Amino acid sequence: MALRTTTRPLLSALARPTARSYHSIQYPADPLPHNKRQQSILDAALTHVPTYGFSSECIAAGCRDNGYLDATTNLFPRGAMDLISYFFAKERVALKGKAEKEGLIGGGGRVVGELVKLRLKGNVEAGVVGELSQALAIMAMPSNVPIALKELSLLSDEIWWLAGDKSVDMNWYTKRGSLAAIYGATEIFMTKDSSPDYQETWKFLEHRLSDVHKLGSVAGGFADYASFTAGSVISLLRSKSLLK
Amino acid sequence: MTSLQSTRPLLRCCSKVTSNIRSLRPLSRSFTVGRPSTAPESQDERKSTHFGFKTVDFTEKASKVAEVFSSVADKYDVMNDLMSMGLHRPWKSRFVSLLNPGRLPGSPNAQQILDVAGGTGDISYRILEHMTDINRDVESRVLCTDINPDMLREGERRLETDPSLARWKDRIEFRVENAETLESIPDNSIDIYTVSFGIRNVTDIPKALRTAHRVLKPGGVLGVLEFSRVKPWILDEIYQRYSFSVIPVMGQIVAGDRDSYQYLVESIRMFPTQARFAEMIEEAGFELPVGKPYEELTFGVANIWRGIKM
Repeated sequence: MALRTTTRPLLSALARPTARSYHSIQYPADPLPHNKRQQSILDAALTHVPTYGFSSECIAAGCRDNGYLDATTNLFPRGAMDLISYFFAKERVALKGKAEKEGLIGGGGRVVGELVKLRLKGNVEAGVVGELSQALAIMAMPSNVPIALKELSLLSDEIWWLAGDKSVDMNWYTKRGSLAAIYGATEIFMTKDSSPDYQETWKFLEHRLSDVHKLGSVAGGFADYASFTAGSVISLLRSKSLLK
Repeated sequence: MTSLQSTRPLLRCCSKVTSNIRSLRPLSRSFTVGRPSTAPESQDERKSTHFGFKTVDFTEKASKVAEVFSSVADKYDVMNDLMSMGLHRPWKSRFVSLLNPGRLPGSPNAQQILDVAGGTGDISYRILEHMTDINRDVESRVLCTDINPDMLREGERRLETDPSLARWKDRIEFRVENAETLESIPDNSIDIYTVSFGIRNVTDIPKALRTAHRVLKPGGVLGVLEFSRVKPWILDEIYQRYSFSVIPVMGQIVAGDRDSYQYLVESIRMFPTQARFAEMIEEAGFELPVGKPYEELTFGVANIWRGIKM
């Protein structure tokens, strides 16, 4: 089997997860896993989301818009989930261009909130905010959870990357983890927000970010305390010649 | 596979025991269990192909397959139930519901479905049922073809005798056709092409796949339901034992034809792996479903492949 896969790169590329779960300077960013024709079907399908919601009907409509058939929906075996993950991936990839326009690239921790806001505004521009709760429900189905979580982690990595985060310690994980949690919570809040221009959503986002800031300093303080105590214990043991 | 067996001393001694038992039974003959004498890939010479584990001339296979199916036609459906322990029904249901035939809401055109190697019409009737009862499509039609007139007659007989199928009379047509050529079927004319447990028996599989590509409309889909490899080796071992010792005997008792069912199990063993067959579909010009080239049913005993003509 191992021999077989090496001689058939095309299919083994399909079978293997192709995207890395983090950014690296050494490697270029992964493109979307769809070819041009598939992208144009899915793009057309997205224009039908405000009418049909995130559903396989959208994909069928997208196929017809491109001159294909109802049967062409077989190209997307996960149905609505394929459309949803395409939407989120597309918005994630588009974030870089938008951030460049706004001058947010490399702005550090203080632009993270702005980047989240920019990404969530993408939902508004696509006209899908009303359908988001449905999308989130589909993403929460057991078979879709791994795909949804991966997309969430990719997005949170993308945002920290754009903000210019260079951490190589445990912070790398805590930053991405906490941002993913904030993003998820804010997006859920957004689905139920009826305030003009989503003001409540942006307030909610601010509060969550300041919570993390507080929590972060507490966690940092605890880490200092723990490392100081550990250092003292080691020194004590050394002074008793119990440790070299 | 052979090298795998040598690493399983426990299982090997099991097989010794069972072969001893087998020799006591008058019904069973001695045969090797699930081990083709030649590797499946060694059929490079153009002119020969395999008929079960035997290597036969390219021209010979078609007539041999014809013999097999002519002899089992009337018992075909009963044998399917017995051999698969009823599992072929959920497999076929899954196959049809995955392909989702029938025009969807907002679609302007009725569909033309082609069921190749449709034989007794099992898949064709399921497709009509799905189109009508699920998608509320009362216009789309099915063309059921088979290379073997005896098998087709069985499907037509069911249409006449089974009252539950009478409602499909205007929407189904039976026609004798060779899957490799499909001579009477014009290019770009078919929405969905299905072949269920049939592609294995075709002499030149790549040619049949290319023909499928020819007759499908752009955007049309090829659906293949076929046996392939069972994954965890322990289940594969059980599966092989079942198929090589139980099925031919069952064929002897029920259909009175042991050789046909011996061919059946051998031909299953010779069919390419899931990944390899997906590649063959790609090589014929199809696009595979994004991120999921095939779907395994019951640990890979049966599998669904789809290819989309773009």
